[in-house]
Amino acid sequence: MPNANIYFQQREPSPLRQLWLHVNSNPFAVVAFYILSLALVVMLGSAWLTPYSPDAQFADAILQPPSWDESGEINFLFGTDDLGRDILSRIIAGSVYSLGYPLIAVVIAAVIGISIGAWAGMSRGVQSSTLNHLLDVILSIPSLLLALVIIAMLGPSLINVMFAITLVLIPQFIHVVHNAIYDERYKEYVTASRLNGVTRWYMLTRVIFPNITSVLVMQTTFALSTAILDIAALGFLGLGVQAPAPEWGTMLARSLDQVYVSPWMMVLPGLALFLTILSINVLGDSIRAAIAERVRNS
Amino acid sequence: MTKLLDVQAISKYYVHKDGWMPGQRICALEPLSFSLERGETLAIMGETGSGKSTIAKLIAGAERASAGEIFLNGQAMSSMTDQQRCRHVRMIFQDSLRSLNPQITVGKQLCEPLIFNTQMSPQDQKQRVHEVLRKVGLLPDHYHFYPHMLASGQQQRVCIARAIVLEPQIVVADEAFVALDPSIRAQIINLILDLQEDMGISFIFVSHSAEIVKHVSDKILIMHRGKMIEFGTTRALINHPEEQLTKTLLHSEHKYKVPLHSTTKE
Repeated sequence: MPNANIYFQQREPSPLRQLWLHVNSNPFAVVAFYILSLALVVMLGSAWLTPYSPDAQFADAILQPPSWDESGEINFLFGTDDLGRDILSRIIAGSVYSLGYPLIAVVIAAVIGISIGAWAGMSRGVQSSTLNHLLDVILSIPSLLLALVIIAMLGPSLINVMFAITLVLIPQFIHVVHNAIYDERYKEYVTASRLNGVTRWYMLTRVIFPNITSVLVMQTTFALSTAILDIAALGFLGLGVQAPAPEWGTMLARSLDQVYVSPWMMVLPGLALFLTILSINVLGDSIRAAIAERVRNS
Repeated sequence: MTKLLDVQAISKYYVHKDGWMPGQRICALEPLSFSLERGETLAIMGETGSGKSTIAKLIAGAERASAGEIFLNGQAMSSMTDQQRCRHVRMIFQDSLRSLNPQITVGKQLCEPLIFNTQMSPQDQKQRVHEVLRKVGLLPDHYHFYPHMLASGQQQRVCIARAIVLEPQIVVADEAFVALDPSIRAQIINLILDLQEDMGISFIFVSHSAEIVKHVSDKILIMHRGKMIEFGTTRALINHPEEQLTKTLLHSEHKYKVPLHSTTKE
């Protein structure tokens, strides 16, 4: 046990904590972090947070403007759409489609991609190259196009879109993990651990992994912003989530008809999408800057 | 009785591959043999790129020999696993900070060899690491430190602690004292001599410094361009060097003496 609190001691923070402090000193990153946390909380609690059912129609309040407008009412905070549905409820419920499903796609892609990448990074020679370039052909097709191809074959649905996006994200994870492990593998501390007689599994999980977590966090944030954009874009085109479901991209597409009559129907879901993606990108970027800063200092 | 360490005709080639063409063989170490008794200290000296570090790495098992064999207590080292070997031979690396994992506390890194090579309980491991930290002149408090929080001399001590935590028979130090300033270097060399007295360890160390070599070693091995050109006891090599290079390396400090009247005062 450290016998602390006898003298004043200045402790240097641990490497991961240093990273956090660096991100924390950037106000934009902090704001982005709070917006993202809020979006995640709203997404998880959407079943309890929505004031009305997202599909409930109020015949007496069609195209009600938002509450801050002169003719708006407080019981429909963000107004209603052309079928009399509450937009606030729809945006909150839509976060499950627009943030929750991309999150699941990224988690699945990360699990598969990181395991293959780690395997490739820990093996050598032909085996390593084969695993590393296993899914490279997918990289040559843009993600939206691949999703379109899969939808053309299997029909438009959320599951097919998820499948396409996951498939596109996997090779990126494989490459990032493989390269990160490869960079670490020939460093002296890994040799030192090998000479300690550690097993390969311990080497991967306890020795190398703590050193590449920051790279993984960065890759995950960028993958997440790609996935959100793709699901929204396919929803907008009418190929992903189908119409009555309150997905943000689908809501944008529906609002196109009434954009002059009721601009709030377009602005509010668009703003939600914009803020989510912006905050993810800002956060990912500041993590990358923090890593670069630490590399420069050490 | 067999010798502690018996090196028989080991050599090392690197294949430098360029594109698809068959690679070019580069010789880092030509076949050489020597042996070492228990409790002795061997110094390896030579110019940069003469293969000193290669010998150190081969003995410690960080690299594999292209040919030849190293026997430890009469047992061939190439048939041992990393685990078997590390109970007998441990290495101290040249760059102490780079040879420590930056994301893991010092204590956990020192526990690592104990987890895989002993049947100690976690409490015993911690106890042992505390003892070893005290032995190298650090405090048990340093258990919770990360490597970058320590000064370079302390990092060097952690590396020594890692080398002796398993109580090995041989410790190989690859230019471990180069980056230290003279006072800390003296402290650490004294520490190593004390440990050698306490635990009967054999040391093999690579060094440029003639003073340290004369002070510490029992035997000296001189390398030149991958070849062993001289091997013998320290006294013999200092008093009767056969090669010019030996003389130069061991008496190098005299050559840099500046003539008394050539200062900028004039």
